Amino acid sequence: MELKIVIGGEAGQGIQTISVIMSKFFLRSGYYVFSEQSYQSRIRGGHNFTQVRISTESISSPDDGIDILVALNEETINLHKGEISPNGIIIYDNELIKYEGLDKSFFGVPLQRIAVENAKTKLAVNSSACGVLVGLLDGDFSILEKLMREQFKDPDIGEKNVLTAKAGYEIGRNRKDFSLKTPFLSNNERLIIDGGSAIGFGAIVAGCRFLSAYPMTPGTAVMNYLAGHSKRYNIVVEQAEDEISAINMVLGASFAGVRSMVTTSGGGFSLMVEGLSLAGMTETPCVIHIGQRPGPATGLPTRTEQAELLFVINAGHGEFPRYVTAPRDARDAFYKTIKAFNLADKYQIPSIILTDQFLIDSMATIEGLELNNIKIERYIEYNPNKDYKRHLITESGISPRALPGTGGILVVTDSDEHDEEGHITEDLEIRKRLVEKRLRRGELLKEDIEEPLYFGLSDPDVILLGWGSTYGAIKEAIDRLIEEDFKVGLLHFSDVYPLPYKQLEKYRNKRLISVEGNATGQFTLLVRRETGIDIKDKILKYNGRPFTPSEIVKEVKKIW
Amino acid sequence: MVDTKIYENNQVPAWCSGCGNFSILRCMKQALAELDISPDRLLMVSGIGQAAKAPHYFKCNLFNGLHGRDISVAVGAKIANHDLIVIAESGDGNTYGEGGNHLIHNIRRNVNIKVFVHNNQIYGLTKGQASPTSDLGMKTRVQVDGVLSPPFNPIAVAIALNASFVARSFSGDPEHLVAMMKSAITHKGFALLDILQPCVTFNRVNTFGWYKERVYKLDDSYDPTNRILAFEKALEWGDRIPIGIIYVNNRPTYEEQLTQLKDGPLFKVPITGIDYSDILKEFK
Ligand SMILES: Cc1ncc(C[n+]2csc(CCOP(=O)(O)OP(=O)(O)O)c2C)c(N)n1
Ligand code: SF4
Ligand SMILES: [Mg+2]
Repeated sequence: MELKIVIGGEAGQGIQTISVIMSKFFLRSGYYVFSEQSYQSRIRGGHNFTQVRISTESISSPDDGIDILVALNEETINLHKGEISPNGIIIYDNELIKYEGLDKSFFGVPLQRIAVENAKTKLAVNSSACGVLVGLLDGDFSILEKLMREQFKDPDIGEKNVLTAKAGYEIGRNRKDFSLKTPFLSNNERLIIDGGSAIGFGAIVAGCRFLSAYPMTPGTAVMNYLAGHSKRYNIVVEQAEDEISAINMVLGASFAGVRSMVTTSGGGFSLMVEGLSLAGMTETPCVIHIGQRPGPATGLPTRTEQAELLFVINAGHGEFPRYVTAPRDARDAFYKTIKAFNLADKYQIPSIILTDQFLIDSMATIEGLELNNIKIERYIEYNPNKDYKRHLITESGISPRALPGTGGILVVTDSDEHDEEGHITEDLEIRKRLVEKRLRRGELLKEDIEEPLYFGLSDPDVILLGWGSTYGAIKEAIDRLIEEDFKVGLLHFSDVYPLPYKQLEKYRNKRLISVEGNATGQFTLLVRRETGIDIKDKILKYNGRPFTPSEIVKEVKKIW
Repeated sequence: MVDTKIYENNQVPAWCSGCGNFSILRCMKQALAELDISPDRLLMVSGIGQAAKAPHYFKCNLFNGLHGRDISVAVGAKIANHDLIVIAESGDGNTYGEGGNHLIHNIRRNVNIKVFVHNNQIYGLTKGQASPTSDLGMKTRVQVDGVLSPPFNPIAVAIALNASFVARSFSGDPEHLVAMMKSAITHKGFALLDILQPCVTFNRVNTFGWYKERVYKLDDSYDPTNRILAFEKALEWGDRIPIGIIYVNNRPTYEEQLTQLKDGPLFKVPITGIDYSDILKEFK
C-alpha cells in the first residue's frame, strides 16, 4: 500500500507544519513515511510544496504522482493538477479559491472558515487541513489529537487546534466515495527524522560540544539543532562573523580539547578552505558538515545538488589526508556523523560530512537508533611524557595528542612547516619527514573506510553506481527494474574518500551506469582517477530537484 | 615573581638586529614572570608575519595559525578551556588588515583574551609594503605615489565598539610596556594592546627616534573610564602620541554569560554515559 500526498501553497501558509504533523501521524499509525520539501528562497509568497509519501514498505525517496493534493492556493492546483492519479483527490478551500473546471476529483472544504470559527485565527488552517486528511483516510483521530496537543505548548491553543482539526475531520469522513482509505497498522518503535536533525543528534551523541557557523542554507539546520539542545547538553554554539572565523574557532576549540564542528554549504566552505589546510598542517581534528545546494556561486539556495564532491576532495592547498563521507539517508547520517568525529580524533584529520538540501530537509521513517553500542574514542594523552612533542614522528604517522594546560607539558603547533616539537623550521630534511609522517595517516585511514553497499541481483548485467542521498530513489528503481526482469544491481557509496575500491575492482568488467545529482558526472571522474575504471553511461540530474525512482527507471530503460 | 629564565627555549629569533620585536619579546617574559604565569598555563596564538613568530621564542603552548585568523583560534580555545590564559600576538597587517573582521566582532564578543599587536606600520615579512596603519604618503615599492588611504585607527575603532580594554605602548619604553602587558593580562575581558614597534629594515619613516620624540605617557589625571575623553585621546596622532590605558570598562565577558561554562571548562564536560532518551522522543 502506498499513498502520496502533496501539500502546496505560499511560503508562510504553514505547509511545513502540516507536513510534520501528518508525517508523525502516519508514523504513529504504523507506516513508513518519507516527506520532502520543495521550497523557494523566500519567506512569503512563491510556490512551495511538500510531498508526504507513505507506504507499508520501507521507502527513502519521494516519487512522481499525487493521490491527495492539499491546495492552499490556486497556483498549487494549476501546477500539480496534471500529476493527480486516476482515483486522486484535490482538497481546496472552496470559499477562497474559485476554480473553473471542477470535476469529481475536487473536494471543496472551507478550510479557513473552519479555522476562524474554531480557533479564532486563519493560522489554524493547517489544523483544519490535517483534520480533513485524517477524516478522508478514515484515520484514528485520537492520534492526531495527541499530536496537536504535543505540538502546541499552550494548552488553550492546543485545544482550539484540536477543535479545528475535529471539524475538518468530520467533513473529511463524510466523503464516502474516496477509494484510497488506508488500513491503519499497529504502532511501533520506529522514528521519523530529517537529515539535519540526524546529523545534529549524531554530533551531540558523538560528544560535539562546540559548533561555530555562519548561517547558510541548508547547513544552518545543524546549527539550529545544536543550538536548540545547547542548554541541556552543555554545547556552545557560536554564530561566527564569517565562515573563515567559524573554522578557525573550531580549530582553536579542538586544539584545546573539545570535539567541535562547523556546518555550512559550498559557498561557506569555499571561505573555509585555508582553514581546512590549516587543520591538515597542524593535525587538528575537526568535523565539517557541508550541505550541498546547486552552484556555482549563490546558485539555487533552497534546492539540491551533488556537485561539490570533487571540490571537497581536492580543497585546500598542500597535501594532507582527510575523510569524506556522504551519508545515504538520515539513519546513515546519524552514524556517519559519529564516525566522522571518531576518525577525526583517531587520525587527527579533518572529517567532512557531505550532504545536500534533499537529505537535510527530508523526513524519513527509520528503524530505531541503537545508542548503547556507540563508542566514543578520543585518542588523547592525558599523562604525556615529560619530553612531549606534538608532532613526534611515529611509524603510523599519528603523533600523541595532548592538550594545552594539561599534564604539565607544552603543546606547540604551527601552520608553517615545523619540527617535531611544533616550532617553525626551514630544515628541508625535517620538512620531507613531516610530509611523509602526515601522509602515512591517510594510508591507515583506508582501513576504516566502508565499502559500498551492494543491492540487487547477484549476477547482474548492469550495475548502477550512486553515492550519498540518491540511495533511496535508486534502490527503489532497482526493485522495480528487477520486477520487470531487468538484471540489475546497485553499488552505493556512503564513504567516498579515500575511495573504497574493493567492490569496484570486483565489478570492473560489468557495465556500469553512474547516477548522480550533477552535470559532469563527478563520481565517475573520481572512480577513474582512483581505479582507472572508465564509466561511460551516466544518468545526471541538475535542475535542483532530487531523483525519483520513476525517472531513474525510465532513464535506465533508455540507456539499456 | 618567577625567574624569566623559565621561559627561555632554544629557538633563535629570525629578526633583524635592532628590530623592536626583541624588546617586546623581553617585556613579554618579564610581564609573565611578574604575574607568576607558568608556561603550561599560557596559550599563545599567533598569525603570520615577523611579529607572529614571537611566541616561538619563549616557552608556552602555541598555536601559530594563519595570517589574520589568530583571534578566532584564540577565542575557540578560550571557550574550550577558560582556565588557560590566552594571548593572540601578531602584527598590524595581520590583525588590522587580513583579520580586521575578527578584531571587530571579537571586541563585541568580549571573550577574555588578550590581543597584542606589534604595530610597525608596515608589512615586514613580505618585505615592506604599506600596512593598514602606514602613514599617509609613505612611499613603498608598491605604493609608488605614497599611501593614499588614511591610516586605520585601531584605538578609535576599539573604543567605538566599546572594547573592554584598550591600551597603547611603545617597544622603546620597556617599563611602560611591561606594565601595559600586565594590565591587559589581568583585565577581565577582551584587551587590545597596540605596541608601536620600529621596523629598522622597511619603515624609514616611523623610526625609533620618530616614536621617541612623539610618545607621551598618560598620567594619573587621565580617566580611562570616560569613553568620550578616550575617543578624543584616540584621535591624537602626529606630533604627540599618547601611550597608556586609553579606555577601560567592565562589561561582562562572553564566557560569564554562558551557562554552559558554569560547571567548569568545556573540554572537561563528560561526553559519555549520557541519557539521550528525551531526544529520541522528539522523533516519535
Ligand atoms: C592568506 C595570506 N595572505 C598573505 C600572506 C603573506 N603575508 C605574510 S605576513 C604578511 C604581512 C605581515 O605584516 P604584519 O602582520 O604587519 O607583520 P610584520 O611582518 O610586519 O610583523 C603577509 C601579507 C599570508 N601568509 N597569508
Ligand atoms: S623586517 Fe622589520 S619587523 Fe621584521 S625583523 Fe626586520 S626590522 Fe623587525
Ligand atoms: Mg607589521
